[in-house]
Amino acid sequence: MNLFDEAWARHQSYLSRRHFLKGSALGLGAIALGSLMGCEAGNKNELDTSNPLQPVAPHFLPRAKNIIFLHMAGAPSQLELFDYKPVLEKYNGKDCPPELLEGKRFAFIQGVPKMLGPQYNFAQYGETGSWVSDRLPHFQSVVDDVTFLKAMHTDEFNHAPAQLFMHTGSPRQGRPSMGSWVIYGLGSENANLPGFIVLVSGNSNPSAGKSVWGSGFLPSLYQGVQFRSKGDPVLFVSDPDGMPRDLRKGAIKTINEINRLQYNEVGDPEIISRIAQYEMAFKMQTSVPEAMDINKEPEYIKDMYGIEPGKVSFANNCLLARRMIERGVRFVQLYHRGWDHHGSNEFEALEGGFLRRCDEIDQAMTALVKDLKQRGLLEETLVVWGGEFGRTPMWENRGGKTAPFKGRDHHSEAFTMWLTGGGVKTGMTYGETDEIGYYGVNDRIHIHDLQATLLHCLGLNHEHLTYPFQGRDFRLTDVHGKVVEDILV
Amino acid sequence: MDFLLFWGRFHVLLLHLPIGILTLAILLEWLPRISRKIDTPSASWMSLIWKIGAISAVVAAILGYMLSFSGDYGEERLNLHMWLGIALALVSILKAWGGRRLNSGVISMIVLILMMATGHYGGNLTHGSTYLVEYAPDPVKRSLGFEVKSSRPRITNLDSADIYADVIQPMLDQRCKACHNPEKRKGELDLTSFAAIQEGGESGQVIKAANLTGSELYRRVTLDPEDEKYMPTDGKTPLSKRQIEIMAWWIENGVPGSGLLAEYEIKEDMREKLSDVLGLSPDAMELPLPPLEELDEEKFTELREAGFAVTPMAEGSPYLNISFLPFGRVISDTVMNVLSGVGEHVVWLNLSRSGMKDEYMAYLENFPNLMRLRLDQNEISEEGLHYLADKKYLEVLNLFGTKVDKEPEMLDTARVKIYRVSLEEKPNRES
Repeated sequence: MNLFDEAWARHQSYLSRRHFLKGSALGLGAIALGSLMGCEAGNKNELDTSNPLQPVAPHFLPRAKNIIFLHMAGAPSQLELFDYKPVLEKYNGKDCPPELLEGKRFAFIQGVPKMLGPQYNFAQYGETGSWVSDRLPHFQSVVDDVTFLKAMHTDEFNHAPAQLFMHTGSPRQGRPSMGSWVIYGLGSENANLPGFIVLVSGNSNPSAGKSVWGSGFLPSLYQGVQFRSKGDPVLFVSDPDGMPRDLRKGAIKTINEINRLQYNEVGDPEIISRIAQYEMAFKMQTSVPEAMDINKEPEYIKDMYGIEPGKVSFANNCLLARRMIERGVRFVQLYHRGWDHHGSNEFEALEGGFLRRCDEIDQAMTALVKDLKQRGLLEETLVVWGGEFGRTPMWENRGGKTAPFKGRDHHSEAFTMWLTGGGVKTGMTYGETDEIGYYGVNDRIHIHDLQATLLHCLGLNHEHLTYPFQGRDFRLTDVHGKVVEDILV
Repeated sequence: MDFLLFWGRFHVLLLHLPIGILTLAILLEWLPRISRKIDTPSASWMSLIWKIGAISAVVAAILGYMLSFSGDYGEERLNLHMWLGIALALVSILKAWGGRRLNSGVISMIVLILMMATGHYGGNLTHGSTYLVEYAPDPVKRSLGFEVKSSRPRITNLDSADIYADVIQPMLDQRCKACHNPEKRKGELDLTSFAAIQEGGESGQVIKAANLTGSELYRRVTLDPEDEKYMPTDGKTPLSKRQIEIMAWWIENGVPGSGLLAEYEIKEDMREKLSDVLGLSPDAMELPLPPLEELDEEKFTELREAGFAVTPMAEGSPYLNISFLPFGRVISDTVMNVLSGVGEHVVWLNLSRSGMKDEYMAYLENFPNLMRLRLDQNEISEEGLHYLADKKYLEVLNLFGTKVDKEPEMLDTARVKIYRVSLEEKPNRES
């Protein structure tokens, strides 16, 4: 062998299994010492197994105690509902001016689309003279109670990322949703119902899927629980035929004892979630059927909302939302899908499907606002309505061809939301878009600003509600977001 | 003097030599005694190493003596370090030139001990005696006899903050204490207490009441950062703009050593800055209620066992937000007894759908600070409302779905917002 080979052979002989095991022994000992000395993830939330969602004091005085978030998945056209642009009418059918297209990316628009004027008639209502289109006849009567945010803007122009952005603060998956952050920060007053409940209508779950009410990296205890509006509200929550409640209770108790022993050994917070969820499930067996039974409501309430018993409907969900709030649920989220009016077919047409969608929500959301108001619940409940982005003032021309029906493409620069309830001024319009509704020109509010403001109404400082993950502290608004104080009382 | 100080500063550089060389010498002496595999180095080498070590110790001591004229260090601690250092130099000379008979392990041991002690006190001079244990776990701190910092109670309310102790002192602690403390007094200035600040330093007074330009403390932190007199020096993090503005405000208000913020008239923008620096939310609303003691945890447990959901109105507030969420339970005498035990503290009370009755309303007599009361969907009638007449902070009363069928006269409806739709009425669908 030459010198190099010999050196190599010698070197190799020091990398035997024996040497590896000897070296690892010390390493393993060191790891054990680490865990003995208590080097944990250091998360501030010591989960109490008996009631981990026990309500906790907010950072400062809250204005609201609960939130109802009405999310219109698909993005309703603000130009046909709230943002009246008479100047756009003059450009109807004309080519879109190049300065609006230069350097911009659109979801589907290609080449030069035509402009599309407002399709419905607008008028001013209430003492505040707020503009509402004729598609929302009921809502016209409550405009004095709400605040419109007309210059909302976001960074995303596709449904799933934009919905994730709205609800979790990031367009990518993996972050906890707003409801999860809220119940992580505040807990929930009713120990017999989940603190964060989700109801979905409009045919299917929103594009972003269940991640928009997921708990991300927070313990899964904080995830949103979706209740089904038709049939069994929660699948398999009822006992099988013939099983007595005592037996069920005993079984759960035993399972949880075993889980608790496991937790004492291992310390995984997911075990606490599991224990809590078993106990919650047991309590939900009695609390949920009672809460979900809208048939017990007096007739005038049922008529006010326009509910459709036995079916999945937004109206049913609105009434359920009110009942949940009455029972102390902290965060209720309603998704109503089907607002994606591109104009590619009748279903997606502003003169077709859009009309039906408006009917579905108009009476119900108005009833919700009125009902909460008459019950004095609007003092403590914040109601938010909106989509994940807006729609363009242009007529969509997918692939260069103008859509067969009237429709608009996704638009991230300007859209409208409304808020009412705890802590928010009433009868106000905040923010303004330019004369054709393309950009916001005054008082623009970014999604992160909205999130910061909602947390602020609940008494939470969005900069201090954090959770350590992957080596740094995260929060809903991450490193952005400024509370919009002008709309707060 | 400059000559002394120029060379004196090299002490900090040079002291590492005797530490390294003398440690090496001691190791070379001791290791062969411990392990047979290690040969004793030759006597000539050992002697050389000791001699170099001793010389470097002497030089370091001389430079140290020159540095002591800077006046930057506290008298006592400096003396201790100085004499230990001189002793170290002498003993190491003894060891190096003392000849064979002094070649014993005892002298080496003495050198080691003296070196450790000198080094330790030297470190204390430059970094403060709490440097090593600053971030140690509390039990360790206590067992070493260091006091576990019991900081001032957390401020939740701007007006109850002390102008010096809560606003100015923490700022100085954060950015100035490292060099201006009783042990290490750069420029002979100690900034760790109000009295010390008033004493001033080398160049005299550092603060002059209501005189910004005459206050050296302020002048130094507002210089051009490139200026050599800028404070803090050495690339240390400076005071933030907000902190400097607050310091200016403090000086303009006469440099008070104590006093609650409530006593000062503070403009809106300054309030915001103060809130920010104190870690308060700028928009924090404050309850217009008299101050109270916080409750014990036991009281919370008692309330929860009775069926109430209890939380403080905000972190650190003695006032409570209480809900009775009926789930198989109704209001009873026992329950109301428990609740009235904390009557003074209750600000928001939710008794909706709880089975509350007129006869239990008497318990609400001792709830002077009640601001919001929900009695909706209970069998309450006007009778029960008499007990609410004296609640001077009451803002919202929810009587939806109760038996109260007209505006209650005993309440000041101009101040109290009342939600009322009685069980008999049906609200107008169009309303």
